Amino acid sequence: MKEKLFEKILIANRGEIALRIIRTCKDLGIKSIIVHSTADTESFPVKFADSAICIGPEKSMQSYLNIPAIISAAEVSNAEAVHPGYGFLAENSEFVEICKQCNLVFIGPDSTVMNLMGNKSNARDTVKKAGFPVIPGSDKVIETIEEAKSFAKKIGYPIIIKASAGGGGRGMRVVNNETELEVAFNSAKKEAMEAFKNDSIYIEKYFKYAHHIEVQILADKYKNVIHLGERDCSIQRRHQKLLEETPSPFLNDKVRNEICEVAVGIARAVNYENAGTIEFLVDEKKNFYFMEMNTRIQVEHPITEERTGIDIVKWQILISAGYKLPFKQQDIKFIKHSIECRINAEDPDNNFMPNTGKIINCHFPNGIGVRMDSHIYEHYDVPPYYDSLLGKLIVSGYNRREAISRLNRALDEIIITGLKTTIPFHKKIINNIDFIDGNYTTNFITKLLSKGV
Amino acid sequence: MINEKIKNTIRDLIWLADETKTNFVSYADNEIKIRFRKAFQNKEIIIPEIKETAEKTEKKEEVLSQPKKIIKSERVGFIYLISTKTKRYFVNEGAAIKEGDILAVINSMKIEYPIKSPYTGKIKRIFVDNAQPVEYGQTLFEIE
Repeated sequence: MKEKLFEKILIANRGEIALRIIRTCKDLGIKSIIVHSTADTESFPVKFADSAICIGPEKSMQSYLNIPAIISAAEVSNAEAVHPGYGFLAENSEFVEICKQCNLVFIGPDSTVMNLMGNKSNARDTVKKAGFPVIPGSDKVIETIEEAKSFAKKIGYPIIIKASAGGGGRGMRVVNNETELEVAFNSAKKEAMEAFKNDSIYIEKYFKYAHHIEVQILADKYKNVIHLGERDCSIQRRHQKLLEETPSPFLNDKVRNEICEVAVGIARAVNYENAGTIEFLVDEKKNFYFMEMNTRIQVEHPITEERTGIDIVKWQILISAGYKLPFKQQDIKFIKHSIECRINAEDPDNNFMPNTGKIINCHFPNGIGVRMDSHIYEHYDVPPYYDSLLGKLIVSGYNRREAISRLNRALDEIIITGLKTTIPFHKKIINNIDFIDGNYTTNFITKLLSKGV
Repeated sequence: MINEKIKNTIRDLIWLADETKTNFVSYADNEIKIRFRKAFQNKEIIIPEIKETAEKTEKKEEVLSQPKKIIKSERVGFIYLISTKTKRYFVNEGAAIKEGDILAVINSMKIEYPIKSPYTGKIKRIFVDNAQPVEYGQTLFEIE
């Protein structure tokens, strides 16, 4: 494939990530076209892109998820490629296929890989067959209580019973020992039947104190695959990430190298192309297991950019245009320690209730080692139709201590009034002694909240 | 002729006043002079002053107060004002139309979607050019 950079890229997203992509387009001398709903007419992405096309009303289904409107916008604007950002159509393989048929380059992997890695059980099978560790589980439906008992004994307690057809926590039971098993098994089956009209269940090993660690991958069209290190995303509330950092304070260099090598191996095994993230669950003993792959740019990608100095969005675009990665693994230098706080329009004192409305004052922190990726501004009206992310504060320092004190300083400098935000909650997180010691798991926020902070 | 000009000027002034959120705008050249002031209760007062005596019969309240009948685009694509079959414009400014008449077609992903008028009346203004790209919500026609 000949490398020829695009002249125009259409951005099929909104908010901070749309602005993030526009910035790299400008750095590369590429014209950006933003598509938007009627709710985002006054947004910064619309203001800063080279051109903007309104594709539909406020509701995402009729705008940001409206494939015909987005493809038509690409047609009328002569865009050569589409950047999907994250969320919306970023992992929709049907959209990827339609782009291809319309001679539009989708900035991401092709639909085959997306289907393979996007489906959890397909991904698990593929990774397992390739010889990489997955969370120990039954791989098939458990029919009887005897079967459940013998399997649970094999993998060891605690275990989690999950509904095959399930989701949203229904039909799920954590079982700590064999005496609890029978009751849990029967009630999970009953609940699964009621919720999904399907009572088939399977069993997985359950990790009470786990770490959520993911590895950033870059892979070009010429089988060059490198990693840009890991990110620790264990600070979560109800599976929503709040704060991420790199490097992980939990891993040692040996495990860090292993997990990154495994991630590269998985990407190679599925012939992955473009930027992607492989998520692992790491237990207390630092055993790690593949969880899933995200075939897109991630919200928390800037900490990796700050740590390595590599613009990931730029490489997404260049890889799609057929460029070869100019660096080898040993060329990647891991210099900084970087932390990101997600600033959401949510009220931490009121069960993180999302709130919308007009921002009155808005001032972003600044100074060395501070980056703020955000689309909000003074008097910006936060529309109620989309997610509550107002922006991301990313700080970096030469070590973790420097990064944390810089983060404290930057959080003190941010002014956002008119709305409740998660800023005060981030202050609590980073001044918690367990966080300062780098001693936290996915249980951290639950623990912090139970102390009534 | 001057009638048309006054109408267009008034419309532009209303737009300008709305856009700049001002209550008073005026326009003058060697033919006409128009002062436009927004009154309280959002009522508009328009005072056209015509220097040329010939056009003095101008009805002053003609374009006032009626809600505008605007037809907007409901999709993204290229708009065609000329029919591919007849090679003629579907409608021109000033043409009388009936509800359901086709005013234009929008070509979106190689499919043509006709734009039918929801009103019976007269085409007051066409805001787009033939074969230009249009976006969702873009103003296409005004009917009176």
